[in-house]
Amino acid sequence: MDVVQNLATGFAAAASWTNLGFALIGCLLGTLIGVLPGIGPIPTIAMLLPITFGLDPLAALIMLAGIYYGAQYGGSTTSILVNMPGEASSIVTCLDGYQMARQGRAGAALVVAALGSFFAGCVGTLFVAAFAPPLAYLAQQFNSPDYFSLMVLGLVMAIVLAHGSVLKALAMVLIGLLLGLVGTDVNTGVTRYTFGWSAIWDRIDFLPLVIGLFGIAEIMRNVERPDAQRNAYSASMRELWPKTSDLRAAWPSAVRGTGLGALLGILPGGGAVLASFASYTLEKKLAKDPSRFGNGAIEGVAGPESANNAGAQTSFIPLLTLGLPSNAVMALMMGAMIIQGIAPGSAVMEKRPDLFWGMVASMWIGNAMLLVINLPLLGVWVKLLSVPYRLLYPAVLLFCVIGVYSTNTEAAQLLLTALFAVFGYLLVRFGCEPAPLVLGFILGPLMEENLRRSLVMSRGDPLIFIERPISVVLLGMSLAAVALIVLPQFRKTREQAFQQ
Amino acid sequence: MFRVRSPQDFGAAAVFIAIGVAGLYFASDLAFGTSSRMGPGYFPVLLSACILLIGIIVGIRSLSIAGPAVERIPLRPIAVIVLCIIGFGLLIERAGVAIAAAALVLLASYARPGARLAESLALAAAMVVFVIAVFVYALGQPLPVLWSR
Repeated sequence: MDVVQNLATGFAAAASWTNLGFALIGCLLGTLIGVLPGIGPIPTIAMLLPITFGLDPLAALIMLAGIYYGAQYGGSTTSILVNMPGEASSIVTCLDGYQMARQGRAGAALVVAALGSFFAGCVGTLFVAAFAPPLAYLAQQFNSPDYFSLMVLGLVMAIVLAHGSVLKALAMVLIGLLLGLVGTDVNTGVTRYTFGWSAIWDRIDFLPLVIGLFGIAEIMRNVERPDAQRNAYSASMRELWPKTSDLRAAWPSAVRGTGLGALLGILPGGGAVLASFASYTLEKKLAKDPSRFGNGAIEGVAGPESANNAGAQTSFIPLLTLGLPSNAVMALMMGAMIIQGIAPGSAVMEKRPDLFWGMVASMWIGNAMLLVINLPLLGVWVKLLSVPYRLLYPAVLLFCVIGVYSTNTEAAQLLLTALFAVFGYLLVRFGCEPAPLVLGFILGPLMEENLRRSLVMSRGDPLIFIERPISVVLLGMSLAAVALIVLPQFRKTREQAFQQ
Repeated sequence: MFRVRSPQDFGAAAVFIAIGVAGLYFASDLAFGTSSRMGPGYFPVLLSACILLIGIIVGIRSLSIAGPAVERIPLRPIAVIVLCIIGFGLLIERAGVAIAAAALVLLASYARPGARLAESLALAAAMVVFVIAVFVYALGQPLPVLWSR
């Protein structure tokens, strides 16, 4: 009954009043920013990251997790009510959720999404508690070559599962890795690519990069569009509760979505986005009458919403046990942990069990809070949707800028932020998704270090990567993933999956 | 004559090639080392070369395979927002967060045409109050309110 005992440790650590308070504030802020149209979890977390820096590590991580779940749920709310997905993982929720809203069943869709997410959150938390220790044990056997191969696998999977062109995603990862190397080389003390600029002397700071790339580039893109006609469907409390028939139709989908999401979330490169797409496809396949999908089928909301929450939860597993962020959101979490002085990986569980299990427990707490705050506050969120963008973006821009400045009170970081904003804007215009770049950026120094150590171990012989059993298995998996995209059949499915 | 058939890919290729070339060029004075003793230039050169290679492949493909056009890139929002950020950086250390925040909000309203001055002024005032109350006092962020540090 280790799981129970460990969870008890976690709840003891996480359930202090202050930590509960931070979880609540995180959920509230996350939802608040997440419902703002066009702002998904990545910019939301990037923007709110600075305010967690002053907290102690556990409180900061608890708050960030709250922000993440809040942002995700906020994204679902906008998908259902205004047909505007804040981010990729709630695109599929739009398909049926918005149709339900048009039929006057917005309340049912929102409640089912919330209940499904909560259920998925509970299962996801158990999943993390059960699978993290064995994986962390496995991770202790890892040596430099294995870590290097693991990162290769993580990055390859991120590329395979990214939207759009594989080549461009690969280039994004490589550019991220390169940007991660800017600054002082820890091994030799030589500065690289700094051009004598003191702001990047040590390294490129995490915040200017993510806030520029996601937060501000996003504003640049949205500002030029005229205020869209948003037809927000209001949901009055009276019609909020779904009918029994709705619930009966929804729960099997929620269970299936949860299982699928929990499994896909563990995959490197997986996570919420993949989970929600896969679940929608599965529900459509299983349905007796697939034509209902896209016309307000409640299964099409329950499944993906549960799946993306379960996936969001279990994608913490590779981060917390192996130190491998499986997607951009996890890269942000990893960045936050590093700033807090914690190197994510199996050592965390061993050295700071209170931190590790506290965070696992806080996942459940965060989910419970979401359920408690979201349904009663639904009216407030809907009101927020009607705030015109012309009032919103100056405020969001101001928060981004203050966030960057207040973390190190160095005005030069703002120039860096502006540069990344323009860069991020151009990337999207040229059809490149910047999310894999962040993954590379976080892993850049780690990958170089492990490559260097491996080659020192083998005296320069690259065969070391296929001589070690763990490493060769990981590289084999990477190769298999590459082979998959080359195969025309899978390629077609991948394209279809992202087009839906 | 070459004809660009996929403008998006062409643009992306230009970015990749520029980064790859710059990466190689500025790594040229870093010691490359050997495999068993990687110098500071080893990994960057490897990465830059790969980025350059991908840039060339994407570039060639953009000439042969048709693809989506690049959406119009309007200069006004980009320039105004960049100015906002830099202006904030210049003002905050000289004039404090109150003035810097007000200036940013006011200027930012002009990132799109049709800004209303009265509304922007009201928003700026509200944001200044909010920022001082929340960021300076509630969160205790190290921001100079007015002139003094």
